[in-house]
Amino acid sequence: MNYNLVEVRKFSGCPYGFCLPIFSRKGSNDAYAQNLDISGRVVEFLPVDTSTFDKIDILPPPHVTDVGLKGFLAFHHEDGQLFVLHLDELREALMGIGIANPFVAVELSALLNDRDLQHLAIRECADVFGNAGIIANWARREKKLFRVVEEALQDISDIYEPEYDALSEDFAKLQSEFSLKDWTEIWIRLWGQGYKRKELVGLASLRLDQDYGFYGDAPKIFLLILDFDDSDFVIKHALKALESSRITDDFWRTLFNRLGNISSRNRKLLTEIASSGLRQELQQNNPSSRVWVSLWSSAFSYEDRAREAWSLAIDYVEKLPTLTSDAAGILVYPFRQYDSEFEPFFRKTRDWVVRYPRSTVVWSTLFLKVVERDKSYDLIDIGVDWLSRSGGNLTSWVNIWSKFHGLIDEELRRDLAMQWLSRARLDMRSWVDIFLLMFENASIAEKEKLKNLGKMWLRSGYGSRASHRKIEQAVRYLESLSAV
Amino acid sequence: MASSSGNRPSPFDDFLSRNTISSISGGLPLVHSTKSLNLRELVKASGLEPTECDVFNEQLLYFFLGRPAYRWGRPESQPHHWELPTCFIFDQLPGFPIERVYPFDSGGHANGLYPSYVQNIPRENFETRNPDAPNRIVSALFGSFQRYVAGQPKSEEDLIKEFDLSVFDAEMLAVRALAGDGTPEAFDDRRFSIEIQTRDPIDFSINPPSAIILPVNYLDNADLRDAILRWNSEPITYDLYSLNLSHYHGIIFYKFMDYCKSRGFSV
Repeated sequence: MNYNLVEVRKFSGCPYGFCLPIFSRKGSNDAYAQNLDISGRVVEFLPVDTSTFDKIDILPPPHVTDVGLKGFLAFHHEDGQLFVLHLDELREALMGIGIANPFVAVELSALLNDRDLQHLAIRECADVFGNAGIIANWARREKKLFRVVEEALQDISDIYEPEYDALSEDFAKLQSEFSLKDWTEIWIRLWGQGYKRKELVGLASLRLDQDYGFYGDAPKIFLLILDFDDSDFVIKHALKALESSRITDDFWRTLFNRLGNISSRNRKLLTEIASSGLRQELQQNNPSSRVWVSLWSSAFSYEDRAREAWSLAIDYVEKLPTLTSDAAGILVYPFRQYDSEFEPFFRKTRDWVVRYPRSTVVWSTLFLKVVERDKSYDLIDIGVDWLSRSGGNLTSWVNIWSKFHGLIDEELRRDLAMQWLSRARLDMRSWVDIFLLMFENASIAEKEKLKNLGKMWLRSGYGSRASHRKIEQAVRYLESLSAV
Repeated sequence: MASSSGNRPSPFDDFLSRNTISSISGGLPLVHSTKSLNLRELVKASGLEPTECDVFNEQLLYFFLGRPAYRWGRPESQPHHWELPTCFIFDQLPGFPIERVYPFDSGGHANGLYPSYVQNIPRENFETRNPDAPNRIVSALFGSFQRYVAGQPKSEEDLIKEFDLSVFDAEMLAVRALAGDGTPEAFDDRRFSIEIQTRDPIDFSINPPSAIILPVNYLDNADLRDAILRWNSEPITYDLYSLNLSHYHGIIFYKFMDYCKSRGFSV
């Protein structure tokens, strides 16, 4: 009995990365998931309640499999592309693919048996976590298990041919009635079932030429077609579909990337389409970091597109005072690209940092980036002023304060820390870190202040048991000094 | 200590009380398992709350001694591997108020999942409320925590020689047989996992989890990372990509054992 792949669902809580292929079979209303063996073959199909998994809104290819045959693994890339392939094919498809999310990259490294990727991803995970102590054992375990995972995924390959049913009635409808409301839906379904694909390409192109439109599904449809046919005729229509669609659509970015990879001839046009889309988005004052980072990650890789990317970055900085989105996440990306075009962008960002100091993640993140490259007096003065008045609710305060080690007088730096402890949020883990750091080499005057601050923190009820124990010990010690 | 079946101790409890069972050194963490889906709520919650159990018809929280076994929802439902487990590991829970202890997953018994030599005996006969029961069960049946973890019970001959066992101690002999009837490497095998029930919630501000087992991708969630830092818990992660039940359950078991060793538990 054959099982047909019908959809792919996300493991809850994981917007991108590996996901769950869902199958159906004739004569049953149940949804099924595969239990695979280490070679990627289906051991059994088990009924699954799909309601707890969010559906990925991309029609998967029309795969068919059965117990004993090769199963399918699914991977949803950050750029929107969905891979549903056999284990060995998926490894090949994902080899060398860029992954921004380090936690997905850790998992990917196990699939690809890529030790370098794993080490890099673990380091990035530790950065994201911001607490080396807690993450250290996790990292050790991941590395230790690497070999086990590697061995578990030795595989073999086999060949099978998918089967599909004829759906000639639906196809006839598509041919005869372009005005059908569910024309696009029927087209996608037939395509998914592998029915007369060559003819379906012709029908889709004809429809586009006759300006019937695809009700927002144009990028999705041309992505499917490009898997099958990337002739100039199809590429021309795909570019047209891209231009007329919204840049924030997941499929838009995937189609954009796909077209860029197919042929360098279209890069100029693609750059223009992307720039125009990004500028439109910037006008709306709420750019999505996902779109920007995704497009930049490809734009900066090509010399002919990098110039335009830098121009956009500068436009972005100019809009910073009015933007409400996670601008830090977007602008950190160009900071990773050092080339001849970097300086104008850097000067613009530096200027913004100097003119608009504020107690936000955006400002502190960008200030840190700027001061890493430029330690001029005016920046140091602004930093000191900011450290003395702002950042009471920001972990990034500690990053800037740490960065100033050796840049300013140590006594002043300690004063700033004491002031921060008095005004910072007590539920921040970094409060405990700074307190303990100050306690280690406290002067007599600092000890008295730390005793009171420590008592205040203990009364607040925040923090872990371990933190409580440490602060209690410190306060007890400081009290014993007062008693003497 | 009496069982829930009345004031009379259960036959299993009676065996544990009347025999001199040598104390064993060491211990094992307690593990509470749930669906990773519930993490979204748990990171905002103040701790673990008992939920309605339709086997015992009361609000209960379940733990297993030293086993990353999992159960949730209706106890009769067998977990599917896509219902990604999250396990909260507690190295210790001082003053933990025990409601009942069973030498196996009581839900499995309620649903007839065990061999007939266990199913033919009423579930209540295995119940005990003695707070020392988990350690005494391990000592009597296995002799050490290492052997409990490895699923290596004493032989029936050794047990009969060591303790005052008669033909009326069917419960003890059945439990011993069950203990040797499983595959300890199989994460899902709860046949011989000592189950501990409580009616009290666990307040994370007093008793934060020492470690949390969860799918690696979940760490991408900032709220969850904040919670882990707040609780000062160690994350232990597993991959999802393989869609291979024994693969990722094996990884969970492997990492859990590694964690226990790193914390000085006897495994």
